[in-house]
Amino acid sequence: MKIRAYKILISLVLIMSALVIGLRGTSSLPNVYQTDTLQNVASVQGIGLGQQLWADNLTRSEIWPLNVPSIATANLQLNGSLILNVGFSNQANAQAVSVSHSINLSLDKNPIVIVQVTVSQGAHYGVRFSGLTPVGATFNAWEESSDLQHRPGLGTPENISANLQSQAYLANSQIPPPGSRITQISFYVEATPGTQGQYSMRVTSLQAFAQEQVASKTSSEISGSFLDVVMDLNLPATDLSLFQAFISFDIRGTSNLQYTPFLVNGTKVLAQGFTYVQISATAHQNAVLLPQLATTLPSILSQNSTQIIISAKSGQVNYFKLADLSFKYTSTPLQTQGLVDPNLANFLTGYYVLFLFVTPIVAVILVSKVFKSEN
Amino acid sequence: MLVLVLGIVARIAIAPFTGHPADIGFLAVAMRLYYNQGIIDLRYFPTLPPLYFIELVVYAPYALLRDAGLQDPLFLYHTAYPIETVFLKLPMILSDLGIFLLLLRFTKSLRYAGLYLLNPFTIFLSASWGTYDAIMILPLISGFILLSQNKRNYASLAFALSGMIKLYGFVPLTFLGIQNLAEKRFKATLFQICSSAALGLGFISPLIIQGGLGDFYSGFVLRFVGANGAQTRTWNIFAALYGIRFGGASPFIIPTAALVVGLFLYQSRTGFSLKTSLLWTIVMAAVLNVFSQSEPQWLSWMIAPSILYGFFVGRDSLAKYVYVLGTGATFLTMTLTQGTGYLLAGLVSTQWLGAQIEGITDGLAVYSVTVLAMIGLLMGYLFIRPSKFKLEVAAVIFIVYAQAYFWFAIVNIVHLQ
Repeated sequence: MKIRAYKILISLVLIMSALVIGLRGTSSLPNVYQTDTLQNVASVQGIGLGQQLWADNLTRSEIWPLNVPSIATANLQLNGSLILNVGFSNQANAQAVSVSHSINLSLDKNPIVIVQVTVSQGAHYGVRFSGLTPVGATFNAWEESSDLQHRPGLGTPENISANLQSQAYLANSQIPPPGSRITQISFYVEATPGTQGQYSMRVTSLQAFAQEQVASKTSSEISGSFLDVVMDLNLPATDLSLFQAFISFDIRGTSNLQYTPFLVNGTKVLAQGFTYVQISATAHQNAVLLPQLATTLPSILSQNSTQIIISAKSGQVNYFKLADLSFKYTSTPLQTQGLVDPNLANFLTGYYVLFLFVTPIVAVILVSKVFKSEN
Repeated sequence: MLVLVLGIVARIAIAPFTGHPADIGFLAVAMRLYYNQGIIDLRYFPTLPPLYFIELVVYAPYALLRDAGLQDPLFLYHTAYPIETVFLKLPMILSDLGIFLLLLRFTKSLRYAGLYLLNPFTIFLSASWGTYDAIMILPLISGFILLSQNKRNYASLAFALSGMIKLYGFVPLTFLGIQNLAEKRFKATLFQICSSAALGLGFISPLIIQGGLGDFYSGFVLRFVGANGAQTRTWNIFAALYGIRFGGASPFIIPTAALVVGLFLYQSRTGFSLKTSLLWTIVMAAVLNVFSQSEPQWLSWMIAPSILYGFFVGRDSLAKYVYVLGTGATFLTMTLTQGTGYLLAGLVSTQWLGAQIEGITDGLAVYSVTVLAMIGLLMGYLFIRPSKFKLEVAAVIFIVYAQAYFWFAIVNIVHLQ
């Protein structure tokens, strides 16, 4: 009897389909776990600006000392705006001109500083804070890798917000003790090596606000004007490692809204998503949060609980509605660090190159030679 | 036969010990969730649904083997076990073999087919990385072969299937649709629309039932065309030279893709042909690689179609050139976008081939400039008068790489403003 290929194929498909259906949920495969419910969300809060704590009217230039290196020129004017004009010559090293100002902001009030600033294209700029603990020890509240440092000038007005408690934590890996104060703010304009020319920084508004929390009435939906949206989670305990977290939500905000989702536990970032810009096509978004993307902190500091934070990088969130949450855990997580015996690494690399490059290339050369002689 | 054996051996030799930690991890977790917990994880599966179904089928014997007591100890820091990895990569490896057999049967030339199966990039993607581009290329090549036999309806089914795996498959389907309309083959057009819609509904409806239209629109439609607002990493020349990462496709993709369609129509003004469709399908792959939110594996989209086109038009040099292109793409992807140890040990930033060629300053610029040159050369092989293939082209690519390395990695020209 002749057996046709399609009969074998159909039999194979049937057997495999039976296996797929029959083995569903029964196999003793390595442990994985998925929690896929909104019931893990204890609350949704919006973090916005509350009471104004401080504002500078930007009129007194004598309280803004200027720091200019000898190789650069600078001119400072304060007339309701802070205007810093700088000239950089062509140098092999980076140059910077800065202005600073004494302030007195209690970190206990969790202040957020809002700066409206315009900096010429071609230059870079940043804003830095420093302070004093109750016993008089100084501390920095800025960190080199933070979003507030070495920002490229855009030539258009930008609103920068700085959560000072978070900045202090970023710089010191710990929250300054209660009673600590921020005592100095400074702005700088800098030129990368080889950059020359005239640049300007114009600060048109400088204010500090207390942080204000608005709780959602429906536990999944919130509207207002927020820099961050925080979801408190009650995740079930597991000894597996987080592989991915997914969050599905509707979001609307100011036209310049850019935001990044974070999954945090206290001050530890467990996973981070990509940064998203608001799109006109839909208000709905599906964001994936991955442990390997966790490189920065959100703009606010989490308390000692597990939270998802949608942190605005620019602009403000006006509306947020949580649609779904899903967490996947695995016994074989993605590792970012680990040791490999150098001898094994060398052997593996050689083995890899042998089969990936040497074997196929030699084979192709041989095959073409064989064909050449045939022709 | 030797070529086939070597192609299989090369793949099986490296498949268990390698794997893209994130991509293989996605597959492994989704399969374990199904077989261990019974959870159908279509909603958050990172690709279009056909891959999920294919993987479910191929993974079943592994689940059975594990239940029968198979031991599969974890190797280094990978996110999947060695034998599990082989099963997860099996659809890609089998697709490579399928493409080889299709090319061999159609061209009746081991040289053409061998240039695909023994191309280091196809080995790298299917057996080492574990990405699924070959699964999309298999029906795409079948489609062109069916088209050459004037089986238009089967060809449109094959292209639609290819597009359901990766959207690039819809490019030849669009060209075929234009051809059907221009030639007033309305029945064929209707079949094309209905069959594509049926396939689409068949594959997509479980996803929509699970996640809803909103999730499907933002999580799949917008994400796959690079318009969901996520500022993900982009591996093209514009991202490198502008010093920014576009939040999706670059703004240049729409005019350039429209230009490709326009040139296809212009070249078809005296009549449509398979060669024209195939040619502009390859050019569209090149355009997507240069102007959209391309990823390194997209370079493989040009390999099998170019071999087939080389056979159709007698451009032997083109088929040989894509072998050089694949070898270069493998080296660049390994050294500049991942680091050797990433696929070998499962660890980020492990440069086992040497710090001088991996993890260099502005590696993205070196990668994208060299890739642009390789794609430029491919355009030359496609459009300039056929000439004998010379291995010196590899030296030309190396010179471009060395120049890019000097200016971007050593002089650091991007930061000299």
